[in-house]
Amino acid sequence: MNALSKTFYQYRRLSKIIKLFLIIAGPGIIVMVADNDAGGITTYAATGSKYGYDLIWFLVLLGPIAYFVQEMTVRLGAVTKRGHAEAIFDAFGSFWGWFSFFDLGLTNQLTLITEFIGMTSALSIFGIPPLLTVIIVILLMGAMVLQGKYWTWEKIAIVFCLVNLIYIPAAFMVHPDVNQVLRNGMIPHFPAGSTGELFFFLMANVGTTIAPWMIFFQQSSVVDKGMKEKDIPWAQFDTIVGAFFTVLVAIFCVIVTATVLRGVDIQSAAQAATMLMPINKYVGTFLAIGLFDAGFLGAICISLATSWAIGEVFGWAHSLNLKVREAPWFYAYYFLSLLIAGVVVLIPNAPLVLITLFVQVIATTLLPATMVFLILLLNNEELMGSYKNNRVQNIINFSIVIGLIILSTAYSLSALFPNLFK
Amino acid sequence: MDENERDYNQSKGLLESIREINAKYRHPRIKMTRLVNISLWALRIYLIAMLLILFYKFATLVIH
Repeated sequence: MNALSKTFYQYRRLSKIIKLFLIIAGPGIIVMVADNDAGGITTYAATGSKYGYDLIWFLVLLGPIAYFVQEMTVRLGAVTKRGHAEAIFDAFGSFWGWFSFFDLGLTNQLTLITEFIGMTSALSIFGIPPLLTVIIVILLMGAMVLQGKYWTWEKIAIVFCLVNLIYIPAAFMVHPDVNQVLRNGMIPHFPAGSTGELFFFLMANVGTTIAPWMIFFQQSSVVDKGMKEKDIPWAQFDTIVGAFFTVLVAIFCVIVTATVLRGVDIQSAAQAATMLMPINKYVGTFLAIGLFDAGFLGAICISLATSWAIGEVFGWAHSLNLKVREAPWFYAYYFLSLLIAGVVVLIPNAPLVLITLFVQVIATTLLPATMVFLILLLNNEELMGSYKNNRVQNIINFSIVIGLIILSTAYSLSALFPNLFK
Repeated sequence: MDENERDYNQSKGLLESIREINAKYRHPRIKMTRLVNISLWALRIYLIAMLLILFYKFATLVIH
């Protein structure tokens, strides 16, 4: 009887923990999975086809890096109850505030265009014209936010996060040699070949791991969800789960192209999906669906990150819990940003390659600033109290921030001057 | 921020809002420790260097 009551107690306790996690889970998983956006999937597909399984270990390392950076936004949001844009204005004054605000707005708008490029090219594989894709996407994203509840939006977004796992069955369908994957992929080493090119690929993978919009998005999302200090451990666990999934998706995406398209020069994930169609129709289809989903997830997070930032700075209502008439500017900018991105993609002969290059460079100028502000805010005792960074967190976070700044700057320079590291 | 303040902010003109934001955040609230000062200076130098590189790139693009 005693054993039975103990088991029942354990069961009740576990189900309570799971229920609590499901309530709090969201921002961390969404931001991390959305990190594998259209640009990210292209980078992984190209990495797999170029270096096979050889760089999988490097992707594993990027998980903890993403976690440590994003975890800081959780604490900052839960303690200050402010989004990142507002926190920068308040702590560093209007000069740095406006700088971050305009850089974020520009970077996000351009990145949003690249997400639309990914979505339209993914659905064009199925014969769906770009105009129809743009209309479907805007309607779908509109319906997600107009229902008037943050919680509902978050749960719908998590469903799209689950679709991102489509790369896992796709990888099993191409029958990779598991021994080879483990031997080549899990033992840290650098593959032979041009070091300049390898460096470029490493930088590109790092560049897709942390983007400025992720920091703004997760902090605003934590605030909009109404998280408090007591929720921080759960939100940190949510971010760990997200980091695990983002690395998992990246690894399986690399396995697909490394197994089937090894040695092929891949310029975009849509090209990889098209090339896979004659080899294995289902894998090609899965890759195209995954690319659309990646672009969609990126787009919902990026457009919201900017709308939240605008609302925070101008003092306008900015919450998914509010109706359109209560937060008109928040929703107006949300739809405007989608519309601009959709229209640019539809313009014949639009300089889409130039836009992609520009995104890399502009995002790089914002990333160091965002990370420096983040780490300084997390060291401010007046603001953070007992939640400020401790010594160990500072050693880890400063190392990550300095490393990311060096690598992302090098990536940006190599995007501007392609022969620099060759 | 209460509802009245939010409604007031939403009905204001853009320029008026910007003026108010500049006035509200004129002085940084963060304590200017040595770490903060060094970080902000390093950031300024970094951004100026990146801007110069960008200008150089576009100038060479225009010339060629």
